[in-house]
Amino acid sequence: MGLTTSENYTLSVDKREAKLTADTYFGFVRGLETLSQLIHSKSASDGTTNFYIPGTPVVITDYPLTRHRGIMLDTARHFLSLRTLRRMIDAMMYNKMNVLHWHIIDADSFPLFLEKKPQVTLTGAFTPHLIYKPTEIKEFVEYARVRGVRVIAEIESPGHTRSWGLTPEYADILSCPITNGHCAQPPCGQISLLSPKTVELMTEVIAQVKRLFQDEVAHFGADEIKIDCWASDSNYNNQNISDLCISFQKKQRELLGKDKKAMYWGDSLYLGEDGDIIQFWNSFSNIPKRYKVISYSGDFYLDCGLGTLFGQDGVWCGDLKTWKHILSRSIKSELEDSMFLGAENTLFGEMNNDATTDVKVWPRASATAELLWSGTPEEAAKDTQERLFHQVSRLWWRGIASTPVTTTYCTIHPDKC
Amino acid sequence: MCIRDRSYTLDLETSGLQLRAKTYVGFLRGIETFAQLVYRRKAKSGSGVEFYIPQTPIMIADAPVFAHRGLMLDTSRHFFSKETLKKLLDGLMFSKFSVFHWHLTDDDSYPMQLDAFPTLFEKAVFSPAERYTKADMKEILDHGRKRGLRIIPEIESPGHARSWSLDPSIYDIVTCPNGSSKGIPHGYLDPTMNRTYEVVGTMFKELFDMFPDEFVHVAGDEVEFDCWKKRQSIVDWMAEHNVSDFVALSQIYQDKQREVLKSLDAKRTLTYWIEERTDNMTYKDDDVLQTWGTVGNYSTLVERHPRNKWIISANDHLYLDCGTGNYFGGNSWCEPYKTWWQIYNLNLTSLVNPENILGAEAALWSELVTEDVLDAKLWPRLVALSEATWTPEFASKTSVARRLNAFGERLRERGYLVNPITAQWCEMNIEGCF
Repeated sequence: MGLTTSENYTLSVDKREAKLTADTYFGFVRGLETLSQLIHSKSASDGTTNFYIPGTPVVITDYPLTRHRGIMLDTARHFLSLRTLRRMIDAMMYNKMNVLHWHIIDADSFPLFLEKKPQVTLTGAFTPHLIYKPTEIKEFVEYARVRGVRVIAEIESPGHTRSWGLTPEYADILSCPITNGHCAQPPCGQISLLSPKTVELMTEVIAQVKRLFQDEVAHFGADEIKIDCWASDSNYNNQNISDLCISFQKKQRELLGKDKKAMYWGDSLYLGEDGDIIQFWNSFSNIPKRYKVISYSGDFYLDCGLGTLFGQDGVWCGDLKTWKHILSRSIKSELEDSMFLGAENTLFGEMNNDATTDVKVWPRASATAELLWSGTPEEAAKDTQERLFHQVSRLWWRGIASTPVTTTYCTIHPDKC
Repeated sequence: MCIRDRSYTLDLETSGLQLRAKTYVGFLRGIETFAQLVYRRKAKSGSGVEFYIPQTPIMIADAPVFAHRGLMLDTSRHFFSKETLKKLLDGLMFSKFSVFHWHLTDDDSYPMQLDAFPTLFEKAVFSPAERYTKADMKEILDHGRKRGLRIIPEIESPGHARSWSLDPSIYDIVTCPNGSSKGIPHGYLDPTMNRTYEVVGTMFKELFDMFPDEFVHVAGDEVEFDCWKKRQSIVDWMAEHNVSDFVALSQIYQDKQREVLKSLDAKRTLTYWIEERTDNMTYKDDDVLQTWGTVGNYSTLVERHPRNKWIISANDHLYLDCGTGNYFGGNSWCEPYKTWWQIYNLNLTSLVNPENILGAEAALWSELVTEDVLDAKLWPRLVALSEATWTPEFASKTSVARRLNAFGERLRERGYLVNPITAQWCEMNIEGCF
């Protein structure tokens, strides 16, 4: 499944049969989800449950407005179990979302197992047990594929890379380690732009990603690059660090290969090649010949408003972005750009773990999923709240611990609320 | 009121341990401390694990500074099963809380079974599965008692009483049962009807029989006078009885309710919600006032009510529902989210009149809380309140972060879903972040 895969389907249900047609397997999965939503249940007097589809005949011709409808999970700030990740894939399928952007490594930890450099993983992970093994990743990617979800790995670099340099072999490739302080948040440290060891390590990381993840896209992150981190390192005296960084990123792009697309955050110094993808957390930019994905912190960041890793109130990105706020966000102007792909809700992991993932993601991501599949046509707005209640009930029934949309009273009497 | 001795001493040497307390509850507190001293490591010989207590000998003499250390949970906006409540009470015991304030009823539902009003048990509940039988109540109360927790019931009136109207024999005493503005209709009891006080008396008699605690919470807040204004009989009654305004009418309700409740149990202490902007009642000296206004407004309230005892539930520190949205899809009225640090920073001893402060309660209103997400709302930030009320001397952020993180781990091992208080790297390197 890729950027251009069709997810169209046609579903028709009458008293005799239900017929589902799709261009691809993935469209079929979307249609199955819709079919499941048509099914209602009723308890009979003898205690059995009857299932039925009201309102037949039903004919639905459906397709998504956008191609990239995703969630970013960060397993580097807190390790997340595969169980949590699989449950996320299930929930995404229930919401017709199709991209899991896996922010798998960061300064905090390196849980991605490198077959050719296992010590990097074993020293970079929080503990040698909190890692993702190659077979586990392969199985997970297949688990997702069968449910119509692409998995895009993000190997953030060259910023946020302290965890790459914790083995004796690579100890000399880190500039401004922990105590120095040139970082957005602890722990500090960025890999060398000068050392051939960095290229060697980067080559293996990219190769491992290509081995384990099937997607045509790999994300390089490239945000929050601290130039002054290298500037504080005497090895960089009299060097143009920005140029060094760009060369590094170009080399990285080369290693990924022409058959793949690279993805970068909008503040990256290097924005890849034609056909690559830029992800915006701030504001949209009509960069020519680049695909675009949005995840504005003012709308789509799921961690806002719930406190910071220092115990402060959530300050930098304001209050919690509610489901209603997400649904009120128009993507009309972004849609005018023919290379606009869609959006992602991002859940950075400083304040998230296995226990809190479902609660933080749902039902807000359901609102995002609706926005990206159907837009928010005026006519739909009136019953959106009610439809969201039903979606949440279905999520609960399927074992997803979604936050409720409203009180039980308002769920029973939506006209009052 | 009675403040009991909860002190204990714990003496640990390699030869043995001695835990001494004057009361059963003090003993329970000591056992918790003992549990916290135990660590686990890989067994020195063979496989498996072993448990040990480092740094013996240890001598602890401990007692809480504030006796009233609680959590309020609203089981009317969303139902919480008996099993969920029992697990919650366990968690409160592990964290050395002393009070569970049970906000039993509200506009949304009345989930408690009453012999006198069986129709409420059918009509004022969301479903047959979402209510507490008498047997359930007994089980929960017993569970709490054994864990050293006082369970204080709250039945709200004259406002927030719409659920009462679902029993036809009570319907008449509730004004505005169907509402007109957005959201749940609010019901306000009619203070001019004798039947109102009959119902209150009958209801509270059963409540007092079920709940042995010396306190009962009668709420008394957020009355919308428009509802009373719309009922002509109330307006007429006020003219006949020279009641000048609705504030005076509220006072009449409060005074009559007090009479009824004190005649049922003269020794029961009445607790009321109070907040600076809406404060317009007079109270008796033995009433306890629970303030939900900001900490800054507390001193104004004390000036007006200098002889009462206080429970602090300042919304700027202790309202746990803030920051996670409201039930219309917007942001909460009390932004931002209260982090563990914000909760810890409720400095009770710096407030005026600390000798009249019984303690504090965090409040979890449940418009957006179901059983599934309850743990995520509480743990471990709630434990910061227990610390702040047991040991109000201020500890450094580093110390609090380290100890709260370790406590969170213990809660996790005991089967609770626990939020992180910081990034995992910071959990493992506290001094690197705090």
